[in-house]
Amino acid sequence: MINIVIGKLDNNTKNWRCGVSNPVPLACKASALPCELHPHIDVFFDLGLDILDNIPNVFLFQTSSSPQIPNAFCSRLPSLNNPPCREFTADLLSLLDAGALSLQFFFWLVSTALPTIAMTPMDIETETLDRRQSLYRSMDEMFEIQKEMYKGQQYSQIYYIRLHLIRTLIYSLLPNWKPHLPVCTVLGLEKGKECIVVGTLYKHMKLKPTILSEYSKERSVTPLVTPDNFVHEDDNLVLEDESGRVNLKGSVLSPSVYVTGNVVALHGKETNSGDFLVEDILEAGLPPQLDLPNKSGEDKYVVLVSGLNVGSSSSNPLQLQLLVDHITGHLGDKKEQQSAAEIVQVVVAGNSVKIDHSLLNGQNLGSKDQSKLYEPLKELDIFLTQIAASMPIDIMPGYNDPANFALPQQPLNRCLFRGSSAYNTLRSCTNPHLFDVDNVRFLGTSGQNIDDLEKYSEAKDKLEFMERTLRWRHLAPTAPNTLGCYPFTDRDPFFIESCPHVYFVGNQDKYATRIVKGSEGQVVRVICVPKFSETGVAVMVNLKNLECHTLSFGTDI
Amino acid sequence: MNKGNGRKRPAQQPPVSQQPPKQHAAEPAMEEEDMDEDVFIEENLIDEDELILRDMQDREALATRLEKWKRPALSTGYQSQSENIVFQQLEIDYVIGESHKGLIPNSSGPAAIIRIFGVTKEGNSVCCNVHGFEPYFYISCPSGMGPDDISRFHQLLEGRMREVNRSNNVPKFIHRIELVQKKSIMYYQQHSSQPFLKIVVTLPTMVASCRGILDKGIQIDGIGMKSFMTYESNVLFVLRFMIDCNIVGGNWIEVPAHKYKKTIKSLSSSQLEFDCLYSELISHAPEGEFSKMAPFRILSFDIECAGRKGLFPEPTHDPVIQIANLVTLQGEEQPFVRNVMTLKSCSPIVGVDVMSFDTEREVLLAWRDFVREIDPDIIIGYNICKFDLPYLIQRAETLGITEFPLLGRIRNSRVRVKDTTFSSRQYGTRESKEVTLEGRVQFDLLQAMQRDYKLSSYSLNSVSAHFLNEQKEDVHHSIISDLQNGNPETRRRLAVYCLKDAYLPQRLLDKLMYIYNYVEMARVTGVPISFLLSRGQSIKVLSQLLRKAKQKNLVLPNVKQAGSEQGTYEGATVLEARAGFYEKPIATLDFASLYPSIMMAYNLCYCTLVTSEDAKKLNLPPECVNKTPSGETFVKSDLQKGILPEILEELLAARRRAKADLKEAKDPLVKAVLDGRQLALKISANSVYGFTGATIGQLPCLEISSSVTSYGRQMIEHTKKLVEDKFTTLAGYEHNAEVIYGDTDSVMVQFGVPTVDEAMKLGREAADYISATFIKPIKLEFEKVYFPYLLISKKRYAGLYWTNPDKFDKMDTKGIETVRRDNCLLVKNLVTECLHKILIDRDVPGAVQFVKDTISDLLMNRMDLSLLVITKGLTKTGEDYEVKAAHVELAERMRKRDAATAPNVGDRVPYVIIKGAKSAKAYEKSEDPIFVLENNIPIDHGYYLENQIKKPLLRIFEPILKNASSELFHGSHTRSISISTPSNSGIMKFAKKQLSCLGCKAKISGTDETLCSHCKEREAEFYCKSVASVSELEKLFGKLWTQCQECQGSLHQDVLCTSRDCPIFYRRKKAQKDMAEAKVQLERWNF
Repeated sequence: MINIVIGKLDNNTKNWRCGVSNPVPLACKASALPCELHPHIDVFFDLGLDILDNIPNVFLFQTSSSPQIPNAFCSRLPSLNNPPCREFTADLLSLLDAGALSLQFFFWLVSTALPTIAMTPMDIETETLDRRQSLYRSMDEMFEIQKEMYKGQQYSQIYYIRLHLIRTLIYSLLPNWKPHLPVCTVLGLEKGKECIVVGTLYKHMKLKPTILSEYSKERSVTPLVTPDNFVHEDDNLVLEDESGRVNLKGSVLSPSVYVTGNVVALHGKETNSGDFLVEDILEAGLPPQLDLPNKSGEDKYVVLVSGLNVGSSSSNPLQLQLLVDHITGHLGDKKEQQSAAEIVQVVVAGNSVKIDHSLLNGQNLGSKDQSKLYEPLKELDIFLTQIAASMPIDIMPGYNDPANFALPQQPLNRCLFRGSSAYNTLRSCTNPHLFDVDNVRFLGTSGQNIDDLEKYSEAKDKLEFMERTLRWRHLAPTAPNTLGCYPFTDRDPFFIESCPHVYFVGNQDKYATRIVKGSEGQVVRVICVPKFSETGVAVMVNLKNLECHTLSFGTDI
Repeated sequence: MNKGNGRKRPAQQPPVSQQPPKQHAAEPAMEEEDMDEDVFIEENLIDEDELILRDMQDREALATRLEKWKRPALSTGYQSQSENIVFQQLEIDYVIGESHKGLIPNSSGPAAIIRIFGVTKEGNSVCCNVHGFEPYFYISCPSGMGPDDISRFHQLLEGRMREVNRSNNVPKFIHRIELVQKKSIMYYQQHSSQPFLKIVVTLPTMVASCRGILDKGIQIDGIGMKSFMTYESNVLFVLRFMIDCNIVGGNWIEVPAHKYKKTIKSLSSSQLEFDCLYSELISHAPEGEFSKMAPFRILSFDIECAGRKGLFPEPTHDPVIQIANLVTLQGEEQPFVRNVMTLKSCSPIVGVDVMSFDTEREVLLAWRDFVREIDPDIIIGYNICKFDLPYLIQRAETLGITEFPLLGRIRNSRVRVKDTTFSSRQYGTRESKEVTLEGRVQFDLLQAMQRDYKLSSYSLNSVSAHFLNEQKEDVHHSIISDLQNGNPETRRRLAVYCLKDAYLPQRLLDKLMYIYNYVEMARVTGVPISFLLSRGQSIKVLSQLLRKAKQKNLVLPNVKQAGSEQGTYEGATVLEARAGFYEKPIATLDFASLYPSIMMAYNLCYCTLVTSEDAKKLNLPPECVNKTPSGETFVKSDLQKGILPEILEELLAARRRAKADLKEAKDPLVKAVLDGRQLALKISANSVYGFTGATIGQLPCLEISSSVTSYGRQMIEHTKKLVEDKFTTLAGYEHNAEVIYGDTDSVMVQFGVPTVDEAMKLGREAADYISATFIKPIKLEFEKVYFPYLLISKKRYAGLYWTNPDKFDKMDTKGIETVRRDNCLLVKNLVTECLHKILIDRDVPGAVQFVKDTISDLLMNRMDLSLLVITKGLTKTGEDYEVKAAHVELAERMRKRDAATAPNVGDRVPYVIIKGAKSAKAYEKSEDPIFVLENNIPIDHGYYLENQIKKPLLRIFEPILKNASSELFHGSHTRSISISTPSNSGIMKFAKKQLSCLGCKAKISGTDETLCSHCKEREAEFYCKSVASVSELEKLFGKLWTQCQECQGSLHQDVLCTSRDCPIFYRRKKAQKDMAEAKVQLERWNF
C-alpha cells in the first residue's frame, strides 16, 4: 500500500502550504517538506493553485501496488519551489516513469536523500534569514553511568560523599559565620555547651509511605489514598554524621522546610534530655558563578519546552506543529520569522512521549499493540526531525519516557528516533542536564527533584523549592531516600559545584520564573517550565540578559 | 546518701582492686577524688594528653549520671522510724531464719520469715521481714475427739514426723493443734459447721510431709489405722500468708510507725529494711490513691555473645561481649539510663554511656555492680529467662567468677538456676529455666507473648513488626563475631544493635500496657505478680476461692490428683453451619459472659452440689433444687448461696464499675489501670468455669462443668427454636427467620430483610424477647450484623461487621488461614485479598480473576520469592527428629555446604520447595531461598498450588462458585508455564553460552548485535521493554534499600541486617541481583 498526498502551493506566501483537512495524517497539516512527511505518507505531490478551487486543499490517495503514477501529476512537480528538491524529485520521477527505478527504491531515495537536500535554505525567492549560531558545550559526563554496575553497593556511600563534600565547604564558611564557636561532631556534643555541628538531616515522617505497609497485617477497609504531600505536624528532624544521630529541637529549624539528605551546619547545644536545641542554621549557599558573558551582544534565545506527552490524550498535534513551525520559521510574517531566527537551541525537558506501560510487560506485542507503541514514538520522531533539520535540539529523558527510572536518567536511546537520529543536531542528553550555550551555563532537570521535594516538604511555590536546592547546593537532596537514584560509590553528581546562570525544571503545572541572587553577586534565572501538552507554553530565554518570555500556542479559535 | 554503697563496697573490694585501671571509667566514682588522682597518674605515664582529657571528661559525666541513677534519699521520717511506711509490694517470698526474739519473745529455733519487697511512692526500696506467721492446714476431726485426744494425737504426729524427717534437726515439728469449727466446701450440707483440727507446723515444707503421713494413714490408739482427708494443705505458704492478711498481688501495704523495727544486721540492699509482726500489717485495697503505681525501676537488658562459626553460643565456650541496659521509671516515657558494656574498645554512641573493658570478667562484674547500683524492681528482656540470665550465670561459673551471681536484693545470696517445666492445658508444656533473683520480678516478654498472643513467629523481630509496626534489623550470629573482632567502629555497630534489642522489650511493655494489666490481674486474683507468668490459670481461681471460703468459714479439701479418671464430659455445642455466601444481613445474638451467667443463674457451686445419695437422704423439695440437663442436682440460692456464683457476681460487678470509672476517667494513667482491671476481671470470670473442669487441677468438679456446658447447649437450641418460631410470615413478619449457625455463645440469624438497619431492629427485638425467657443474669444481647457473610463451616467464617447501620466497622474473619505458621505468605495475601474483593468490593469475578492472575504469575515464575518462603523452627538436631522434615533436611544440607551460616538449633529455618526428581520426597525438595535466588533454581509450582493455596481457596470459593476447583485451578491461565534454568545444575557445565536475540531468542552468531535481522525492525519495541523492566527494578531497589536504611536508623552506614523474618529481605536480595542482570541486558543496546 502506498500513500500519496496531493496538495497545493500558496503562491502568495511562497511557502509550500497545505490547509488542514481530514483524513490527512497530522504531520502534514502545515507546511511540510517531503522529507518531513508523516512516515505513513509515501509521496506528496503539489497540484498548484490553478486546480479547481472547490476541491479540498489536500487529499490522500492510496494506490495498491501499481507503480504507475499518473502523468498529470508528474507534470506539476516542477512547480515545487525548492529547486534542488524539485529537480531531484523530477529526475526521480522521470526515472520512475521510464521504469528504470523500482518504486521501492524511489521511496527510499525520497525518504533518505531528500532530507539532506531539503536543508538548504528554502526561501530563495525572498530575502534569506540566517539563523544565529551559538557555541555549545555539554557537561553531562558527570551524570553518565558508564561502566558502573549494580554490584551490591548500597546507599550509604552517596550520603557519605555528600556529607564530606558539603561539610568541607561549610567548614570554610564558618569563620565568617560564627568564628567564636567550637565545631563538634554529633558524638562530641556535650550537655549545655554551645557549638556548631555539621551533618546530614534525617526527617522522621509519620505519613511517609513505606514498602513495608504492603505487608501490614490487616488491609485497611478504606483504600489508602496516597496524599500528594506527606508533611505532618509531628515530623521531626534528626542530625546524623558518621558518628551518630541526635534529635533536633527548637523552633528555629522548621521540619517542613528541610528534607532527609540535606547537609547543614547547626548552632545550638545539647539539652539535658540528650536532644540538640537548635539556635541557628547555616546552609552551604549558592555556589560560585562564572561571569555572564555577552552582555552587549545580539539577542539569542534558547527555547525550553517539556511535557510534550505525545500519544497522551492531552497532547494536541496541531499545537505541537505550530511550535515546530514557529521555531523553524515557517509561521507568521517576516517579523516573526526574524525572531525565530534568533533561536539558537531547543531543549526538551522530559516526558516527551506517553507510552502505555501495560504494553511493556510480558509477551511480544501483537501488531495492534505494536502500533500503539510506535505511533507516539514516530510522531515524536517527526517533531524532532523537523527541528533538528534546522537547529540543535537537546532531548532529556523524563519520568514517563522510555528511559531508566533512577536519577540520573541516562540519554534516550537513539534507536527510538530512527529518523531524527540521523542528524547530529539532535543530542540525547541525561537528566539532570548541564550545558553551556555561548558560555551561559544551564542546569536543568525534568522535574522529579522538585516534585519530590513538594511531596516531602512545604514552600509557597515551586520556585522556592528550586531556590532551596541551589542554597543547599544539592540538586536532589531527597535522592536516594524518596527519589530513586543510582547507588554511586565515588561521587555525588547532584552536588552543584558551580552556579548555573539558568536553572530550569520541566513538567511543572504552570510557568513561573524569578531571578535568584546570591551573596557573592551570583544571578540565577530559575524557571519552571510548564507541561506543553497541557498549557501550550514554551519558554524563551535570552542568552544576552537572561530575560525570559513564553511562547503560547493555542488551537482554539 | 552513699550509705548503701558504702556498705556494699567491702564485699566487692577484692575483685575491684584486681582490675586494671580502665575499669574506673565505668565503675561509679564513689571515692571520686582518690580515683581521679589514680587515673591521672597512670594515664599520664602513657603520655597521651588527649586521651587523658577525654577520659577525665568521660568520668565526670559518668559521675554526675550516677548521681541521677540513684534512688532518692530516704526522708528523715523514715530514718527516725517515726513515719508510717507505705509501699507497693511487688514480690513476696520467705526464708527460714532464727525467729525474732524482739518481736516474738517466747519463741526460739528456726521459723519462716516472710519477705516483702516493694517501693514507696517516693521511690525508696523496701524490704519488710514479716515474723510470726506460721504454716498450717486442716484435717477433719474424727468424731468424739476430746482435748486430751488432741494432745495425744499431737505427740503421735510429732513422733511420726521425726521418723520421716530424721535429718531435720528442729526442736519441734508440730507447733500446735487446735480444734476449730469449719465446714467443707464440698457438697450441700445442712449443718452449719463441723469440728476440724488445725495443725500448725514449724516450717512450710512440713505441711507436705505431714500431709503425706496423714494421707497414708496413722495408727491411733483406740481407733486403729486411720487416714485423713487434709484440707488446704496444698496452699503455698506465701499465698497462705497473703490470703490470711488480705494482701493481693501488687497492692499497697502500710506498716505504722513504731510497729516496725529497723533490722539490726541488714541482709538486703534495700534502702528500708525492717522487721515487724504479721498482725501489724495494714493491707490497702487497690482503690483511690492506692490504685496507683509506685515509681518502680524497670531494667531492660540484652546480651551479645561471640559464637563460634556454625555453632549456637554456649556458655562453656563463647564469651559474653556486650550487655546493653536501659532503666525506666514506671510511668515515664523515656528511659533515664542507657548504657552498654562492651568487651574491648567501642566508639561512643550519642546519648549512651559506653563502657569498655579489656576482659570478660570485668564486663560481667561491671554488669553485676550496675544491677546492684541501679537496684531494679523489675527485670525485663526478650527470652531472658531461658537465655540471657542463665547464660550470664553459667558463663561466670565457667570463668570462675564466684562473686558474679549476687544479683538479687539479698546481698550475699547467690542466684540459683534450675530447670523447670511449665505445663498447662491452656498453654501446653514449655521447658524453661528458673532463675531466682530475690526481690526482683523477672518479666520475660517472650513468655508473655507466647502466653497472651497467638502469632506465627515469636522472634523479637516479628513481634515488634506486629505490635510496633517496625522491623528490627537482625544481625546474624556469624557476623557478630566478625564485628567483635573488627575495630571500635564495628563494635559500636554491634552495640547499637544490642541497645535496640534492649529497648524493644521496654517498648513492647509500654505499648501493650503489660505492667498495668499484670498488676491489675494480680490485684484482682490476689496472687503475686511472679505467679502470673510462671503458673497457669488455676492458681488464680484457687486464690479467689480460698479467700472467699475463708470469709464463709469454709475449707477446701485437698483432693488427690485423680488424673483423668473422672473422664471427660461433653463440651460446648455448635449448631450445624449452613455453609454459603449470604448477601442478606445476618444478625448475631450473643450471650454475654454465658458460662459465668449460667453458674450464677443456676447457683452452680461446690457447696450447692447434691450427690445422688444425699439427694435421697435429704429429701429436698423439688422447688428448692435445680436439676441440670446433665442430670446433676444443685440447691437453689435460698437454701445455700454458692461461693462460685458469689465470686462471679463480684467479679462482674467490679468489671461494670471499672468500665463505668473508665468512662469517667481522664488521666491516661488512671485509664490504663482501669482498663487493665476490667480486662483482668473479664478473664478471671471466664476462667472459673475452666477451673472446675481441669481434671488435673486443684479442685476439679466435673459435675459443675458438665452442667454448665449442658445448660449452654440447651440455651443455644432454645434460642434457635424461639427465633424460628416467632419470626415467621405467619406471625406477621415479612420473612421467615432462619438460624444459619450457632457457636458456643452466639447465634446467627438471617431475618431475611435486605438492609442492615432492619436486621438490627429485628435483632434487638429478638434479643429482648428471648432474654425475657431466661433466668437472670443470663442475657441474650444483640451486638452486630454481618453483611455480607461468608460461612464456610463450623468455626470458619468471614464477613463485614456492622454495629451501626451507616458504615461497617471492619472485616471480621475467624478460622480462615490467618497466621498459620506452616503457610507461606502467598496464602495469606491471596486469602485476604480475595475476601476483601468478595466482601468489601462485592466483586466475585474480580476475586476469581485475581486468583487466576496469581496462579498464572506463580506458574510463569513471576512471583516474589519472599511470598513463597515457609519458615519452621529447628528445635533439635537432625538425628533427634523421628520423621524427616523439610527444614531439618535442609539445615543438614546447608551445614555440608557451609557450616558457618547454616542454621542451628533454635534458629528458624526458611525454605522454599523446589523442583526435584520425580520420585523425590517433599522433604528432599526444600532449599534455602538465598541459594535458590542465586542459582535460578526452579520452584515447584505444583507443590504450592496443591499443598499451599488450593485448600484455603477452595474453602472460600466453594460456597460461592459452582465449580470452584475447575474454575480456579484449571483453564487457560494454568497452561503457560515458565521454568527458570538453574545456573548450577550438572548439565549447565557442558552448555556453551551464546548471545541470543533479545526479541526472538534466535542465536546471534559472532557479532555483538542485540537483535537478529528479523527483529531489527522492532528494535524500539524491545528497547522499551528492556528499559521498562530496568526502570521497575530501579524503583523497587530504591524503595527496598532505603527502607532498610530507615530500619537500621543510619544513613551513613551499610545495611547489615539479615533478618529472614523481614518480608523484604528476599526481595531486597533479589532486586539487587535482578538489577545487575537487567543492566547487563540494557548495556547491549549501547553499542
